[in-house]
Amino acid sequence: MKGVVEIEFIISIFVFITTVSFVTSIVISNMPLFHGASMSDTLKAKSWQYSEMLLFDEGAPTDWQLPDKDVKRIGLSNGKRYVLDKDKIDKLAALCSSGYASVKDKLGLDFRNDIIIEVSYLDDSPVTGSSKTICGPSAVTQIRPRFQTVRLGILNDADKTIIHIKAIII
Amino acid sequence: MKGFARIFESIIASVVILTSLTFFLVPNIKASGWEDATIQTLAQDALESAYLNGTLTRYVNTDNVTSLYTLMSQVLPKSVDFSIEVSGTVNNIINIVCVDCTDDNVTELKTMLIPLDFSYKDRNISIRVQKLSLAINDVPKDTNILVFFGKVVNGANGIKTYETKINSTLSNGGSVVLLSDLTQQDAQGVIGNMFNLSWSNPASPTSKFDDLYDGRKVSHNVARYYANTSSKNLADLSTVDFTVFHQSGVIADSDLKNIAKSTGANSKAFVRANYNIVNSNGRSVWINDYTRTDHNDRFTKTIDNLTKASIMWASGEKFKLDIIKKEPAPVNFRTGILVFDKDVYTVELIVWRIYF
Repeated sequence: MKGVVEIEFIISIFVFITTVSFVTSIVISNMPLFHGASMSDTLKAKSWQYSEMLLFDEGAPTDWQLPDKDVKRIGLSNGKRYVLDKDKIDKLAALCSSGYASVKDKLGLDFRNDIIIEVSYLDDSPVTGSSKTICGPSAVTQIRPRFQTVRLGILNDADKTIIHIKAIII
Repeated sequence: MKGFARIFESIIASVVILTSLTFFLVPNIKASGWEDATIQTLAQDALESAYLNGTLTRYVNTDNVTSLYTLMSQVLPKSVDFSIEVSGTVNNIINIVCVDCTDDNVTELKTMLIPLDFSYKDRNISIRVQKLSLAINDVPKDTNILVFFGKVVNGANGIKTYETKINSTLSNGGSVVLLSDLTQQDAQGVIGNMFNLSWSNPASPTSKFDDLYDGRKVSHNVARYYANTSSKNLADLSTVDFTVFHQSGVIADSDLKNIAKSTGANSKAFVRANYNIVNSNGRSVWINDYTRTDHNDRFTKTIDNLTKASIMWASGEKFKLDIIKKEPAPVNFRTGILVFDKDVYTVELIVWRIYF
């Protein structure tokens, strides 16, 4: 009986294909969950990384807040741990208002993410200008996931005022 | 029929296999811990900023728990509660219970420790003494030190009589101080165990601080308090002799626990400490009795100061700066900072989530 396939063989093939399809569909349906968790963790890690950079790095050159300096890297520290330079905060706000894209570039953020930097006193009043947000894109979507890291430092003023610095990565 | 049975059997088998597969293919995403890390980082930032800003040391020095609470409430998220613990320096309030003491004992103890309210490196310290009969009362919860004014209490060995209650106090981080001459029998019994004492023949009563500069030794820490309360520098204490102790046969073992001991070979201890006694908690100080007929006498005054400094060490050097009594949740984050002020001490911020 060449060319005739037994019913058991057909059923076994059917069971095998069903099992493989089932396993594949489960694995595929789990992928978004893993991807979402990974994206979320990446966002959190980036947010923490930028908060560290803003709080503890002086930037390059270290006196980038001075006029006519070619800003290569942005950091708000005055060189001492936890001490933030008020002039650097003002300069970052000014740079950002004239071009968020160039600041984003100097912070090393790629096209996939945006950053919002907020600096405020403990009573929530802004440290510079009229808004707590010293840097951020002009239009912010509320749909994309975001994560914020809040840090604390002191200003290099006479009172050594404690301030909040918030790095929100979108 | 046989063929259909086989087909039916294989379908059931495949259903069982597929069902069991769902058990193994459940997505398992473990929490990354970023939320915990964020809170812990913020707590560390809060301590560092408050220290650099100068407010932390100011509030600790002035015992300003209200302002410290307000500051920390402003900087930490609303979803957490916190407790602040200071360790490595004398407690701002030292509560002493004089066990089964008479009024005369209490007066004498207060005279030895006078002034009871004093300034230590710009901090106001208050010693509060109360007498209590341990036979009918439990040790109050805020007690720092149980003082035994003499080893005999109500005609019996007080340390032995109240051993259980003393051990409970030590286990909770409290201390016990014994002011008494001892015998060989005492040193080899319950007292010897609790105060870590051993015995040989009594010797000359003149003694000095064991070591003024070795930070690991209790004598260094007591000497720092002694220097401050007697307006001296640590270096000045090398010439200070304690001359009016009664004779002692307690051996000054070669360890970190001697406070005052005679010099030379086979030296004897006159004040000796012990620590981590029960469950790695609790401190004890044994002070050999001395001539106390006139507290204005400069030799007596010297040992009065030593007693006071020893009591400051026995306070536990650990206290909380909370606006109300708080017990941290079982899952908490602890972060600390070493404060270099007029004294060096550690401030720890313990943070925990209110909602689980």
